[in-house]
Amino acid sequence: MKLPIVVTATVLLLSGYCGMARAQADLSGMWMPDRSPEFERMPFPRGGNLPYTEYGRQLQDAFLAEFDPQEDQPAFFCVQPGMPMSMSPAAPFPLEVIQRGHDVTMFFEAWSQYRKIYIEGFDRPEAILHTRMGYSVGHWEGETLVVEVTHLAERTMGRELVSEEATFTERLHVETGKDGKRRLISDIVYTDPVIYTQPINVRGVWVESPDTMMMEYSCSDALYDQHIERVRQGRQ
Amino acid sequence: MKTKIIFGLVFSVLLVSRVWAHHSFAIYDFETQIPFDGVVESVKFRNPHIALSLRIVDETGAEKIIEFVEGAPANMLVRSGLKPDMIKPGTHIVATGSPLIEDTSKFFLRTIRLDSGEEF
Repeated sequence: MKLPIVVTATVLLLSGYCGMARAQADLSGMWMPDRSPEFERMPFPRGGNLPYTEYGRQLQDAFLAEFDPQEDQPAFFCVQPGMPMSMSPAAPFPLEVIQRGHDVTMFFEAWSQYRKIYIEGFDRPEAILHTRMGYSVGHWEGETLVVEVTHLAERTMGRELVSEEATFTERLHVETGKDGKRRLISDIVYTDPVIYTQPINVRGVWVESPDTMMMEYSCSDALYDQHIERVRQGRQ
Repeated sequence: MKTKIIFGLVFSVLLVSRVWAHHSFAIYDFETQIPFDGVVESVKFRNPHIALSLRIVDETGAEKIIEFVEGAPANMLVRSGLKPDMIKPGTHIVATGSPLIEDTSKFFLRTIRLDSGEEF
């Protein structure tokens, strides 16, 4: 009598720990930004006629008055774009997703960014700092991972403005395209009442690319070279 | 040919996005593409841009160095099939560049053609 109970308990315990039995989709793999016309991508808008609050408009106008919107973008100086921009990139750098029952880890080759999505129901660390990638907690709704993101770091320079009040809800799921390849799709509703008067929709589409190798992306060497050159010129 | 097409398509996208670029491409005259036949003097195969200097012999017979101050990201070039040892110093290549508007002695590296005929 005891053996079936022990076996059943063990199976239930393992299922609970692994959690994969509850996950309805496997987001794991190597992905590249998708360019196929079948799936529409919506990047995070960069300036222009956006629904700014008065404060948001003041920030944007102040930046444009003093800096070049093309030359003075933070990303051009190795400042990581963070979230939600990195979920809908234009540049062809891969994303590696490692999915376990209790979390999902994302590595973005572009700017070597790291993101962790904690799955509800499991232990997770306290959200303390505001960061570029934010703090992500997800739960499964069928085959969709619904993620709530908070604790984004403020950005007041450039064309992609963020306040610490920004949050977004992301729905991650996998679809198979007409070409038979899987797509990882991220649908984001981004809300920042300090900067924008209404939510902004973002959509990232990634196509599976299992043969792509993740490589290091370090963009700070050139900046350091420039600094050294300036120091040398200052000594002349 | 396939590599060139892939690189060309990707580069076209990047020209629109400019996301990975160190700065805007508007500082270069991309309408102009000048080929230079020479030997690699030095190369920095890195992100966000590779940089390369090429020793050429100009029309007067004098040697000079052409500076390609930027090009595509190293990671992108590796994925297109170009590896650092394929353009190490001493390698003969034909490099095409678009001049920096404010200093036409400096160029953006557009394409590299190896003696094998491969083009990146």
